[in-house]
Amino acid sequence: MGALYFLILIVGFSFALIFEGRVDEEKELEIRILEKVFQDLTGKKNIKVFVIGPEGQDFAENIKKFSKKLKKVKACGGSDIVYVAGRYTKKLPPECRGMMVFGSRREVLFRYSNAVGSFYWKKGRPNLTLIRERLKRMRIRLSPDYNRFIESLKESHRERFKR
Amino acid sequence: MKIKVGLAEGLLGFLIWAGVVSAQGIGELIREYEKAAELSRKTKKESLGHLILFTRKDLDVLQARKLSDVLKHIRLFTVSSNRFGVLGFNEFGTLTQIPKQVRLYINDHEVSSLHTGSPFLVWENLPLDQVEHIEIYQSPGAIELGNDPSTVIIKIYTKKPERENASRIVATASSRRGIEGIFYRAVEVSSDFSYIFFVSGGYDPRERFKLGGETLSRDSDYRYAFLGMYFENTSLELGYGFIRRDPFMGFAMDGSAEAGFTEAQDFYLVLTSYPFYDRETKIVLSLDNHRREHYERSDGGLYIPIFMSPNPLNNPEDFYENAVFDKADLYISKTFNFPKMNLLSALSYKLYSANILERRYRTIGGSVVDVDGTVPFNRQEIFSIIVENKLSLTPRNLIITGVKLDAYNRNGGVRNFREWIARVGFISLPTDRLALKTFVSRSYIPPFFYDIEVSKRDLDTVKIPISITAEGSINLEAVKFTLWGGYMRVEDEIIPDSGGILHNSSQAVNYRFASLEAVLSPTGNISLSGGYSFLIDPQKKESPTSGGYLRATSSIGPLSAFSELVYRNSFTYGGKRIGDGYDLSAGISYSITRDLQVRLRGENLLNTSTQIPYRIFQPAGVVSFPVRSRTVYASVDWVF
Repeated sequence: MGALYFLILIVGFSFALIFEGRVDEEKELEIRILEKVFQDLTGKKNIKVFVIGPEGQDFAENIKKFSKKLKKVKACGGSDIVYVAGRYTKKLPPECRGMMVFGSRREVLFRYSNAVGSFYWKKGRPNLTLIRERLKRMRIRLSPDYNRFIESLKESHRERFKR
Repeated sequence: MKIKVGLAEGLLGFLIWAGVVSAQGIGELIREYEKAAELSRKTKKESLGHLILFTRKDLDVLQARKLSDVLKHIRLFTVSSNRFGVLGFNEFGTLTQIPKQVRLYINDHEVSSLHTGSPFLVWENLPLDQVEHIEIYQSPGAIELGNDPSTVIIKIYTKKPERENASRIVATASSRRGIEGIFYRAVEVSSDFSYIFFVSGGYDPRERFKLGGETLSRDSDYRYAFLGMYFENTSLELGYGFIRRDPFMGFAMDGSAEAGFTEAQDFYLVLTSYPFYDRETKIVLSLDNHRREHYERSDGGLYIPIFMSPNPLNNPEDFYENAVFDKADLYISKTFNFPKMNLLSALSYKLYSANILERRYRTIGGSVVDVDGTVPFNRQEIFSIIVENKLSLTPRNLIITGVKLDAYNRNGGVRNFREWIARVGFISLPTDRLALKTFVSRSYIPPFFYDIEVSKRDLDTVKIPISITAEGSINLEAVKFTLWGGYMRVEDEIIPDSGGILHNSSQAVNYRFASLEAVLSPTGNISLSGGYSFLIDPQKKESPTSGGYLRATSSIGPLSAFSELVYRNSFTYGGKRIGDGYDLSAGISYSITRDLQVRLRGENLLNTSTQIPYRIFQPAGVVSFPVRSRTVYASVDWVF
């Protein structure tokens, strides 16, 4: 039992020590990706983001922590882009009409006619999808780096959207 | 640079993180994000032991279909098949019928048999298509999960619905006329609810062997189902497994049961709750039900040690058993998180019960003997207290200390006892490329219901008074070397005596072992790896005492291929020499579209894998068979 007492002593002693903070590389990288995509979509260095959706608060905290270029704004009207965070099924506020929309779920592409793209998980992988027709409509030109992420809306998706 | 010390999982993740900062292109950023977001980085628990990880990508490239596909090249172990055709997992040098020191988890629930302690009776054929990744921890003394004592923990994680949002159908046919079908659906329904539903079934015929004019078959039918429902702070998981297997050799004196079957079924329910917002308090309630029915007959008689009589006419000719086992488990933990320290305190209560519905045998003389329970012991409670601390002494040095105290209350006249597990671990990253990990543990393995039933006597716990393991790895961009070794002393081993009845051995066994592994990844698409492990001066030589593997994988566009050679050395068992074993597997897959893939995979292609020896009593001798003979599998995989 001597070894047992020794271990308990170590456990107790451990409390006395002080530590540093932690970083979360996954969240930081997600914000870095969105920051880059938003910069390239808007052509601006500093972007005002109107955030909506159930995961909006988490997103707002993350951009505050990890990004100097993205800034959350309270009014849709004064924003450069609308970011739909999480699974959100409601209509966007009327003042967001005509605004560029980006989402964290694939469904955003079918739900909002101004959704130019989405960064989401499907089949176990992160996917970036940008919609060719909408980029064209909004006169957005992206570098060739993005070519493999740009897709046309399939016919079925168009029909689904129209409904 | 600060490193993540979210506890044990954080330190080694540091190496991956180090290369992220300079990423610029969008494609490169997404690749780095995918790597940083790997679920294994969140789930792995360094305190559980020395980790062998199979990521989703590894499982895909290796076309791993079932557990034995990933277990067969694990260092220091040989995959086997016991007399009933059930998968075994033997430490080098040993030949056990039931690997009760192995704990198998599906997510956070342990599914090892409530009767024998082995996880493989029901779960051997669990398809891995719905699996996100597999973690295998080696080293005795893991306590964090509140698990029964172990030397190996296999953790299978199902795919995360919020990352899948897809359904999948996989159909497989084998060259031995086996079939298998799998369907799963994993979907995020809303921000606070997601689910995965999985169902599979199959028929697994294996090569039949002739022995004394009789045919030995271990063919099996199996089916599995799983439903996981995940809410914001609560989850509910239901699991089901069923297998019906031909008797293979069974208890037959002549090594061939002429008729019979084993049917085993598991059902479990796990409710996990984080009642407070900080998720530092965790409550897990689980209920398990395990049913097993076994029948076999051999005209030459059965050798079931506790039923044997000096008069041969009183020995069993057929045997039937129908039993139900239940387990209720309540685990409550509270984690105290500090910036660089994590203290886990937990209480666990487990209640095991056994109910023998029927157990009888017919003697060669023709009379029927009802034996019911061979011992009155059919109920066991285990109370456990767990304290484990993970402490970052500096940003590059983590120390783990833990103690688990177990109190066993058992009925039926077998004694109650208290046992304890203790462990000190140290993980260090002296440089960005070098990682060191070491554990010193004290542990034990308890006797299970089965051990006491078949020995008809109380048994003491198997003691592991000391185990010392150390691992060092160096990561040079395209090459990674890992050196691992250690020492373990085992006392009071539960082994059969000359009459086959289990008892605690008075002879201690010392294991000294070492392994070396190298992984070479010259490009992102090609990987070469190899490893070799061995016992130093082994005391037991009833199975291979050394072995290794060589593996090559490549992915080019829609094509992906692998080949793997697993080696186990020769040994002698009961006077029979078993030669070196070489198990060659290879496979190729082709993605026709992004959603449709076809696969071809062959195992034991040379038909030269290691043979498993079996003792037969009439006539006395030893025979040997491979776990699996040459088999080719073809699959179609559709994701939608």
